[in-house]
Amino acid sequence: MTIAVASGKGGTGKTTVAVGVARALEQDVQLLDCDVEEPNSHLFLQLESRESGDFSIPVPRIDNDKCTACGLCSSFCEYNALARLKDRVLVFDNLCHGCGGCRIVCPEDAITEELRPIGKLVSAQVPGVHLLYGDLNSGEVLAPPLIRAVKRRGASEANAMEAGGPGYTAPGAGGPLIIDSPPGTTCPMVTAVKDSDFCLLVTENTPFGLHDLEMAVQVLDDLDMPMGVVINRSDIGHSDVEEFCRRKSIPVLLRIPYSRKIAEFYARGESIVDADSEYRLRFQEMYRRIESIVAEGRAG
Amino acid sequence: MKICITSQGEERTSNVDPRFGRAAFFCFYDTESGDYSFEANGFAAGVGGVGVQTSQYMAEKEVQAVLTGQVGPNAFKTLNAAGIEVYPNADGTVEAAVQAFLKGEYDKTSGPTGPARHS
Amino acid sequence: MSTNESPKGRQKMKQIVILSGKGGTGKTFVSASLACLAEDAVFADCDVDAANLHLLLAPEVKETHEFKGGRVAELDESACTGCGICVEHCRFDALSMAAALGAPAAPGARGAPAAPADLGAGPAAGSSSGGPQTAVAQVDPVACEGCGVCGLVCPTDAFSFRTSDAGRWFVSDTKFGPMVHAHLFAGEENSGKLVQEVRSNARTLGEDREKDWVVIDGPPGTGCAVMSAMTGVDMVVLVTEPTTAGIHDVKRVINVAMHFGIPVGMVINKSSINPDMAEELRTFATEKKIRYLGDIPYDKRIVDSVADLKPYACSFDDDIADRLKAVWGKITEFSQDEKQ
Repeated sequence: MTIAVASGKGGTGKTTVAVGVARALEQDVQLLDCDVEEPNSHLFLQLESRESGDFSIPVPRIDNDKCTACGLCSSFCEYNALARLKDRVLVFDNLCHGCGGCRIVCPEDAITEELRPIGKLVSAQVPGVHLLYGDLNSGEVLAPPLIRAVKRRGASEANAMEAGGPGYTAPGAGGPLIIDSPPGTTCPMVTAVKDSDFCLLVTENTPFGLHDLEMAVQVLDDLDMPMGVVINRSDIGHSDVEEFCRRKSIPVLLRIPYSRKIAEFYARGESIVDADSEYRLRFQEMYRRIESIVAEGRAG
Repeated sequence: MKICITSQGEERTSNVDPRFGRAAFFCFYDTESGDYSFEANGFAAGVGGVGVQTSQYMAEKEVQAVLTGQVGPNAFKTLNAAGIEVYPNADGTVEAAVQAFLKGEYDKTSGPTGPARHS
Repeated sequence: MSTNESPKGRQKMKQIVILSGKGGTGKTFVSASLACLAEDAVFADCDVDAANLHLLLAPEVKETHEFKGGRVAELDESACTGCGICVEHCRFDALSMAAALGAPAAPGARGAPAAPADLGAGPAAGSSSGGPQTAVAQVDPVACEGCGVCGLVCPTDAFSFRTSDAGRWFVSDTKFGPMVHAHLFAGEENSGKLVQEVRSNARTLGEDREKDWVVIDGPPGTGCAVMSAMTGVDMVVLVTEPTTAGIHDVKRVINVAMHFGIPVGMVINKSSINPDMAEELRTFATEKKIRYLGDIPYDKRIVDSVADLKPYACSFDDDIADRLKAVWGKITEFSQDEKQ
């Protein structure tokens, strides 16, 4: 089962919840940190092993001997990554999205592709949690391709396990998959959460929290995704988040009251389940409730 | 020769626009005839690669030199490849900038004047 | 030749952007206070994804404008033969084969999706419940980047491209000055382009009304939208918090600001939750030649002010308001030091 953890507003406790659930569950878990612009999950796990590889997108390279500067590639390119001059064509890697269209359109077969690294795909392990995350290089803007790569890697490791592949034991594969999504409601968030079985929305009981929760709920409704809410710092603020959830029939699955101890542990990069062991049980309970909601949804 | 000055308005008395790709207007000046002509910059509202597009346009218009404020790396690469000289840090009115250029008071640049810009 | 004088003989209008890297550091609380303290300013809320500044500044909308996003592919199902070549070529996972939505054709009228021999192995086509005879391509408009490759390879020219209606931007009045803000519709991308729209309109508004400041509330992260919010400003004001995650994310933003060559100032919010880390941040600021603007302790009064939608520095007269005023004082001081 795949559970995405998202939030309209940033800083409400998404990573706290995603890491908390991953640590609390007794089965081995895969945690995919898809917040590739600011991946944080790894800061809260004492990683034992870490493997990092480049993630690249294909960019065009022009064979000047074959190029006739006809300009078809440049007019096709939606991103102005190719500039046609009198006698040659310039490539701007930083503008290229890697669509491959220029190579197809070139009548002289003058374009090949080269891989340009835009970030890293990292695989790491702690007992019970297999972490995969993407880390977009500073100055790069194409988050969705890296997010998709993290999810594909997670899925292929899960599939290999299920298919009983030749001695392949991806740690955590076959168990639940938790996705730590980027904040907000735009393209990167949607790319991260789509195709999940359930989405947890983490919010706070403030005007900002409520305002952004409403937007996140709209996105999930459009995706037809079952959802539940976690209210962080639940005893602070009075913005009727609970009333909103009641009206929209969205279950509030967990309330985390403000605790100075949790805040201090967070500041030091330590998980909520270490600050207060009661949360281990509460997260397990929440997971079971999610399992039954998803099962009911499938049956109904 | 034909030169282009980036402009904030459509008059000779308009101020130079320090932006290149997203300049409001282009002023084309012909050094032989002394004629000024102005055009609104159709690339200014583009999403990305505006510097590239604008530079390509300069090449199409057979401009030999550009007077402007700042030029980013993509624009510089294109202008340079097209053999167009770049004179940055121009300011004051368009007319004053042209006069200063003709008197040889501006230095051309051999590289972009700043990092990539997005607006 | 460096001067702060514009041809009109006034101080050149200064632009500052407030950023934080990660969410939740209290950026909007700080922005709203700086906004209300800035005299003769225009505001830009560039957090177009989750715009929150307007909740604290209570704008009255005067103008609404449409925002068109990028291109999105659209399929004419009647022209689709279900060949699957487009799915093979799409690099953004925006195309898949699905049951036709239109009226079912006679059985076998649509060709079974071929596995084009020359394209090699690819994802299985025609896997949905409609059966291979009625499978057509389907576009995921969120994933679609509008690159045009599907239109290029489609043998029956079944694709067209439209510009998506992606959001709205507004010009409003607030108690403290005019504001430009925006709202990106859920699921859309191109937030960078909308931020540019907000920025350029805020700048024009500021110039037309001869304002001294443009105060920009920036988006989270370090991507396209942040870069559009940051470009051409005179200073980045970084709101940080003394936590492991906060420090980690702030470093990323600083890298981007340095890439743009923009001076950075740092405010440490919630400084009392971990004084050691706060000290670490101050040392880091000195090393990186970042201007230290001040710190604000964690205080329930601040939490309450946000819950009550009150910009702190102009709603209260206490030690916290004083600290915010001191931050603004440092910002004006540093901006005068900068040579144009």
